[in-house]
Amino acid sequence: MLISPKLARPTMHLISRLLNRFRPKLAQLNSAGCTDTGIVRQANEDSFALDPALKIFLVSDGMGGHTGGALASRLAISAALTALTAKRIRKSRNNPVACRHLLSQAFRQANDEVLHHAGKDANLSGMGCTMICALVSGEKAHLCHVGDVRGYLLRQGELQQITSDHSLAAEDNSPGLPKNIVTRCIGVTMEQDPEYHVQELAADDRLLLCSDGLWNMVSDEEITAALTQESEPEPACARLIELANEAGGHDNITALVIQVSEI
Amino acid sequence: MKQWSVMLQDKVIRTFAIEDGERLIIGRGDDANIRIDNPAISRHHAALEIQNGKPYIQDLCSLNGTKVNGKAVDFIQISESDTINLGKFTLISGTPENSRTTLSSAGAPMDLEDATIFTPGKKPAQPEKKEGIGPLLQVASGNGSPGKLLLKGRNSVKIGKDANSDIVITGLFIAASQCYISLRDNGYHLIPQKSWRKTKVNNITIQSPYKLKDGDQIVMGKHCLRFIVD
Repeated sequence: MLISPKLARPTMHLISRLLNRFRPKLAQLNSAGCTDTGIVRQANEDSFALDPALKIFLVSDGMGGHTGGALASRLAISAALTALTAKRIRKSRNNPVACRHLLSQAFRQANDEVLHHAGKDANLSGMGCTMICALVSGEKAHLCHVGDVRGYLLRQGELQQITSDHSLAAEDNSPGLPKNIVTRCIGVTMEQDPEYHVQELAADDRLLLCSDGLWNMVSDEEITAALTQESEPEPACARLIELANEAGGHDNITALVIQVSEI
Repeated sequence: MKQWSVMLQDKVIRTFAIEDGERLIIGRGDDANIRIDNPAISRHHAALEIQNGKPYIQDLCSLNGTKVNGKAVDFIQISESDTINLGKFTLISGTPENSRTTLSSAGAPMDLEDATIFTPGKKPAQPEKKEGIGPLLQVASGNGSPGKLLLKGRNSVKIGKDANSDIVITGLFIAASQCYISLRDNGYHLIPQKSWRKTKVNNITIQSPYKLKDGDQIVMGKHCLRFIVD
């Protein structure tokens, strides 16, 4: 078959467009996380984990003041990572319902794991943690969380909070309520599956997962400024932690930044 | 430090003290801080805590619920005039005047004995009306396991051959993930997945998300599940 030179270019264009349709759309990510004890606390009860190959990102905050908070956050994260296997993630690609289920299940397993350890040792009973998990599948980010950890999206200089806080202060607007009481968490009672959000990603988007030690200390404007000034995730995390410590560092601080370099 | 009492009608069953910042678990379990030995009380029924001098009550997923002034609650700040009901028991702040006499050293053991009357061995207590177990999935035919799944607190349920499904069903042409039941803003939706054996609701093949109604029959091969709204 002969194609006249005049038609060659449009034909090639058409073929490449057709091929592109069938190529799975994958977001190219660049990510980093950082955690710090802060200035006031003695120990760091926050934990985070990131798996760039599977595109799983986790931040957990052990319940302050309770025994074993640090252990709870570590246990929850490792249980969630165990539940989120490569095979399960591959199978639920491009299927939001399956992704949501996978994440809910990971949270349930994390809850079981923490409860199991809490039941074995009287010193650990009552330990718990809040957790947020982001799973990037195809060109979408799936977020699940319990408690007052937050997920933010920075798009074209605008910071938007994706998650809602599960805390007494956020759910009931009456003034004077203590800020630090979470209404949902892993370990003590998880009566409900985690809250779920799905976010379409575009090139140059940034996702920020953080514990309350960051957002309690640093304003949205400062977060926006830090994320826009630093082009790479790693210095951005370091800058955010520095800001929280400058503001007082009352709690453990964890920041995890995911940068979408291309779709 | 504040005194609280657990009452049954007008008798004091227990009195206990709670300090600011403390959290006490009330329940039937051996590990509960305040033990009430009654089948209508869950093992961990409720938690009472004082934060900054203000009392809060939290229901710990108890079967019969925790009520404040007659309303079922999850987690709420309470005031000292509120009536808190755990099953048939009432939790009050302080010790009531009229029963203070029964709290003398002679009276107290009798009260404790009163509390144990309700153990199943001596006198089977009438199970209180189960309230608010919420929507559920019931296996009507086939070997789906478990046979009943409460949807309360679940946002996403998987049905299929996979061992990690919430309801595992087997059979030829049933998919690893046959379908999902997902909570969206206005109810539970059935979301069918790719499978050789189609998922049918009330004999109609479902191809796109379908909002489940009370009594719907979900049929996958020889399996039939019923969706029941309490």
